[in-house]
Amino acid sequence: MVMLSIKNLQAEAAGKPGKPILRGLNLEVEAGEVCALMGPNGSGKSTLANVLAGREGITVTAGEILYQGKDLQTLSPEERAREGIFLGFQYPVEIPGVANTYFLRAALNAIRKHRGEEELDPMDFLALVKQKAKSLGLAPDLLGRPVNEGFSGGEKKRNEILQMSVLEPRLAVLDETDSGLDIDALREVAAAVQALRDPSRAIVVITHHQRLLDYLVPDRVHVLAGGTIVASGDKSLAVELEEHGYGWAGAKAPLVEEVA
Amino acid sequence: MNAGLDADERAELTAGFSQAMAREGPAPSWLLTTRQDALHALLEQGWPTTKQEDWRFTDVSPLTRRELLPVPVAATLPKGTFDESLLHLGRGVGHRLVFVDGRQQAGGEAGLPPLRGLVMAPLSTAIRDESTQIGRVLGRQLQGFHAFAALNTAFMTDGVFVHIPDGLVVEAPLFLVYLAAAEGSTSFPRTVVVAGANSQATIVEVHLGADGRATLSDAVTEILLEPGARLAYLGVQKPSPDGFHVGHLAVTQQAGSVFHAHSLALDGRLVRNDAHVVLAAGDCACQLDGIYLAAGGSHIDNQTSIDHRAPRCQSRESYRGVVSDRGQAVWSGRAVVRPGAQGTDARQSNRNLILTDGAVVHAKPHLEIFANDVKCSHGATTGRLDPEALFYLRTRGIGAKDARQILVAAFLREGLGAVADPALRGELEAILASRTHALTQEGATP
Ligand SMILES: Nc1ncnc2c1ncn2[C@@H]1O[C@H](COP(=O)(O)OP(=O)(O)O)[C@@H](O)[C@H]1O
Ligand SMILES: [Mg+2]
Repeated sequence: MVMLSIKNLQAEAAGKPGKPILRGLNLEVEAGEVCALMGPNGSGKSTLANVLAGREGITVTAGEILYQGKDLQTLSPEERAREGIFLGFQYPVEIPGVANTYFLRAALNAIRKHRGEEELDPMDFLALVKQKAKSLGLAPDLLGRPVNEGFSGGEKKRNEILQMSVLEPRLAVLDETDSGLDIDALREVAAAVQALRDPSRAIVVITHHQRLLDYLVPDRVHVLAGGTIVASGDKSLAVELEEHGYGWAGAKAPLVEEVA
Repeated sequence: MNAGLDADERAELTAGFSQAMAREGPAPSWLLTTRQDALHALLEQGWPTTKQEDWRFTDVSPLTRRELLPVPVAATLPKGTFDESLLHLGRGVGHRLVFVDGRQQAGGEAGLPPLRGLVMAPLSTAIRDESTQIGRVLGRQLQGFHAFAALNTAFMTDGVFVHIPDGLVVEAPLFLVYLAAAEGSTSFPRTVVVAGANSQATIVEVHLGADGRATLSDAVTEILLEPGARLAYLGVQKPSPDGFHVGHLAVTQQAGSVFHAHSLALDGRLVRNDAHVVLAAGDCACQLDGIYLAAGGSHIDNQTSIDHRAPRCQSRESYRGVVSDRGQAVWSGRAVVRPGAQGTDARQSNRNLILTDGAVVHAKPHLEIFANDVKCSHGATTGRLDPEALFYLRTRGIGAKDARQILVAAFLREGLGAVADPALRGELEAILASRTHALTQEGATP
């Protein structure tokens, strides 16, 4: 089954019309697939992730995004989340005054309500979160603290994965979740993502590093440069990129007209 | 500076004063003198105008155009016309006195068993009892303060006198509840508190206006902290959206005393609070906190000053508010460090959250420093809800309105940080949560 189908996607920042960031991007992700999205800084990886999550401020000017066969663009960010889309932020947001567990329970209950399921009992919820946090190596006191406030870079990234593990999305897009992690943290995070690998779920990991892919072996690898996918392949593509750099993939990019 | 009262206004106030005094009946001569002095001060200075710095953003003409003399009303409490959670704040928890339109409610609730030596009595009784020595405090801290404080002093009908004897620790909060009930009622609640040396207590003073009624309460609270006293004071003001509240809190702290005030102002066509603290002797600590919520057409003005007159005192001030629709908030924080107040440590901050276009905030922190060995800082910020935080919550499935509610409630809850009494804090959190719900779930653009 096709989880995500993107055809000729073009997008620009709302404040900068006429300067496309995504320039006719095509991508297909199957259910059950883990795919790696790689590419140089500024190539549009986060922009793509944000378009999928429904961020305001990025305008889709052309193209089509089908998620489980449905047009994604008519849905609000919360509707997308309730339908099973999860974005692991490259820069997770700090929310003063809102306890991590309170936030996560509100999120889970909103999603369960949408699915017609009952709210989870607060004690059951707490037990679930504590167990997931433990397997991620996340200190228990971080659960009671305000969301991401004063967390280290690594703690923030683990907190993203904790949320993903609790919310159990159908399509997860993890934007550079591995950057800023030390080797132990990387292994724990990769294991948590690996544990969510499932025939009914698709996971897109945006990364610069082969290292993560040693633990989380991708089914497909795509290279994004200049706002389009310039190369696709299996896991050996990531190895080649590691050896030759993005210049090698970028050279295969179709020529795009620069718009002044 | 002088708005000047015209001949008619003067005549009306003077005649009203004679009538009020006749109604009050016999009173000690010191009190009559205090009232007369206040009336003369009022006639001299007239009503404040927006040409005065501390009234720049608050036009009192809607107030001065209405009936300003005390309106005698039957002291019965209309059912279902007050914010229930505020009306019942502290019920069954601590000693409680209830007033309706300035008069003590007939058959007021019985409090807890009396505490040894604690005085909590209606002002009308206390002023006629020489043993209270209330005359050494009442009216003594108001020199030079504004017209509405003078108006209260001239016309006050009743209120509460609290005396916590030296060394007494009062665990349960003392609740003073002033209700403005009848349409068009004007009342002048007066509260006088003496916190004896090394005593400890919490006082909660609640002013509520009946829903849909254009009431005015013009309140004055005077507090004296004797050496080593520790007093927590919570002041709640919630007139109806058509009602008015003008409040004056005047505090004097003696050596080594600790005072913590928290103000909560909700709604009201016009709420004006003045809080003035004098740190008269060394080694005191003073904290003034406040939360305000100005929605609809509400105008809330908080003016504070902390006067460091003695060495080694610490003051903290932290106010925050949420402003939406056509709401307006004014905050002015003034800290004065007099010559000789060496070792002063003063900090103040003000944070505002604007929810919708059209809401307005005027914030002015200011420090006046005349000593050299001091640590002082201040800051004021006004902003919108963080769009990144909103987006983050929404990407987790939380709806836009709920996301706003979560962020606004968190902002306000942080402002309650210093309310120490856990039960009281819980009640206030619940009140703020339900107000936040109303603000973010109804109307208000997403
Ligand atoms: N909101 C925005 N406003 C203006 N430019 C943007 C905005 N978001 C992204 N861009 C630009 O789009 C390009 C792609 O950015 P991004 O998607 O973050 O790249 P990547 O994640 O691949 O490093 C960059 O040149 C960036 O500056
Ligand atoms: Mg990026």
